[in-house]
Amino acid sequence: MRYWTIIWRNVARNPRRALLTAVSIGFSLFLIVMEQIAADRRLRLEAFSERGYYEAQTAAGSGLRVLASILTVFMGIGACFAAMNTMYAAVAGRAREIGTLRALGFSRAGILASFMAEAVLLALIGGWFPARDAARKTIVDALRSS
Amino acid sequence: MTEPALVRITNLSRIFQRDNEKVVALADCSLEIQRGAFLALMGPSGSGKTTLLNIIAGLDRPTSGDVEIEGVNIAAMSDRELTRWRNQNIGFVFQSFNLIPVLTAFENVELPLLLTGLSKQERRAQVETAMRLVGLEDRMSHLPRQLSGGQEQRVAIARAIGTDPSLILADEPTGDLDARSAEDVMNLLARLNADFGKSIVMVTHDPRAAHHAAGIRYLDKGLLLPEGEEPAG
Repeated sequence: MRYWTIIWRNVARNPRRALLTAVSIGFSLFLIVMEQIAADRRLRLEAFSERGYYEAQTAAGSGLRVLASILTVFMGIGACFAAMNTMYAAVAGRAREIGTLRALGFSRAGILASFMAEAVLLALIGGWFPARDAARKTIVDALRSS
Repeated sequence: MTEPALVRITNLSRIFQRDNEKVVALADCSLEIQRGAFLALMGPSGSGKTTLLNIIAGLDRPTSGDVEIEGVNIAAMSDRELTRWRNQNIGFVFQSFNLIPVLTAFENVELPLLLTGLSKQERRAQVETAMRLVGLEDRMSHLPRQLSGGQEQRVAIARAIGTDPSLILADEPTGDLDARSAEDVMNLLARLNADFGKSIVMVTHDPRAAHHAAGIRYLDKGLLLPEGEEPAG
């Protein structure tokens, strides 16, 4: 479908915006994956040994970790807003184009889907690599420390 | 039995609500447009010409009144039906061309055909015919920014006629063009009307452009003036 041609060429024409969107989405995914895996690891640690559990409890790092988690969540939300903002600008900048497509007989749903596809495409490009690396790193760290 | 009019508008009103102000864009207009007509709608800014055109195109809905095109009441259609109907029956030409900047001339003309279920070869044939008709068969792979304003508008006209619609609507088609390109575009529209029997309704400010049309109707402050009458002053 021609939608894909429009999407690809729009990404190619404005790589800075595409990169910004991809990076913000990627960054938020990275943080979410880190947070998920870290949370998962803490759960698993609990099952390890009593000694390990108390060690973790008394460690000075405990409060810090909570703080880090909160920070992660807030930064994740911030990155989501950044991504939303750039996509919003992309849609607003093409309002005329959308009007034209409507006048030619394209449906609302089709046009919406094409913008969704663009955002998902950027999210996949921006999200896949950092999320994969984050997952890999935290899993390796977890294996090492256990 | 006489053939029904292509467009029949009866007691059409369109009122916009701007905050607490009611703006009457069109008041009780009635108009019939016959098949094969080339009608120019003229009038000062804010007289409701573009609103009338948008309602005929199904881009805007009347506050009251009926719009029948080829015997079909478009005011009663759902948004989805209207979108489909527009693709098959209306070719729209805009003042500022509105080609998709990232698509080539060929792809722009092909765009409305993608919704028709034609095969790739059929689409190619249609696009080539339309581009030949507007005299730009050697510019098919050019992007809009590589074309002049007049050429862009001709591509837009090719896009409008590609689906072979019964009615071509043009909103100030020469508004953004120099005198020479405007003349080319108007000659092209006149030819589409005379040689191919395309019905055209055009909104314009430009008396030279209106001169090409077979008939002129004037609007003033939302009122459609009777045939042959011009607004005072």
